[in-house]
Amino acid sequence: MKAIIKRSLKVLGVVTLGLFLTAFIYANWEAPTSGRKAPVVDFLQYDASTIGDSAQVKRVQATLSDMDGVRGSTYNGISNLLVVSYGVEDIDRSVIESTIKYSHDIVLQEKTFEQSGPKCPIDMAMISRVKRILCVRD
Amino acid sequence: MRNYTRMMAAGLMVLAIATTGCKKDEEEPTPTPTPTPTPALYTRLGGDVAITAVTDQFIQNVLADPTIADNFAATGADPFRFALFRERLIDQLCDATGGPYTYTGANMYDAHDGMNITEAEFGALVNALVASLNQFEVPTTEQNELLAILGPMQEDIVGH
Repeated sequence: MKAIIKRSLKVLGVVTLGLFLTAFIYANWEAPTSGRKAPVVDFLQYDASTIGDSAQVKRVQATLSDMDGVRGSTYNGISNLLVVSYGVEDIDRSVIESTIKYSHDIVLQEKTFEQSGPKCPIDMAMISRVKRILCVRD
Repeated sequence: MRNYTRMMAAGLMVLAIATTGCKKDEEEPTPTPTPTPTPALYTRLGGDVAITAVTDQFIQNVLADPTIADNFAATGADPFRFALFRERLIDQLCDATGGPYTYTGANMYDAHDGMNITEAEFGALVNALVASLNQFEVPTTEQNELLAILGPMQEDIVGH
């Protein structure tokens, strides 16, 4: 008798959870927008002063443009920054950096963004990924 | 006599048909060519793929520009925020140009509240967009149309 009740409660729990999830997704589902459908692209900022003169930067840019997965690069002579965009699913950033090192003997030095103030302890990227998979609206 | 009457009747009928036909031809207005509606800017720009490419190039230009790059430091430091920013930017451009999606992010006033963006910074942002459009060889008409759509946002973005 006890076993039957236990099993029934388990089944009821699973059914309730299933119904809740179905209702949640149904109520919050939205068609993925252009931004959501777009392939994930990451941007890297490199200190161009470590690359050399503008001619050398242009040669590096030419190498970058030949690489599959690299979307583009922009060099700004005033800020001395070289910004590279690449498809996260197409190429690994270490491949970009090692290719430049191999082709030009240059070690690209990334200029990271510095965030002041407190940082959110929750992994929002993971939540975002789940929302993206379930097509849940923001 | 009967034959003559028949012939007269037949003649009159032919005449009636002929004149009615002619009259109809005269009355029929010459069809004026209906102007084909111009496709939405979204379509003329090339849809999702092209707008995404322009947006990515725009972000790239912004990050390289010393005038405005610092404004994106907080966003750039957090990959989640940065991905969301890019996503929203693509959605907003698609929506503004008549695409099939609706931008659901914050309005421009709230999104830039407390950032104290100057007119020079806004100008640099516009230049970054124009440079991106030029890189993808977007015709001047479409460029101006897009800038005319985005221009009024200036008062919501600058100076607060």
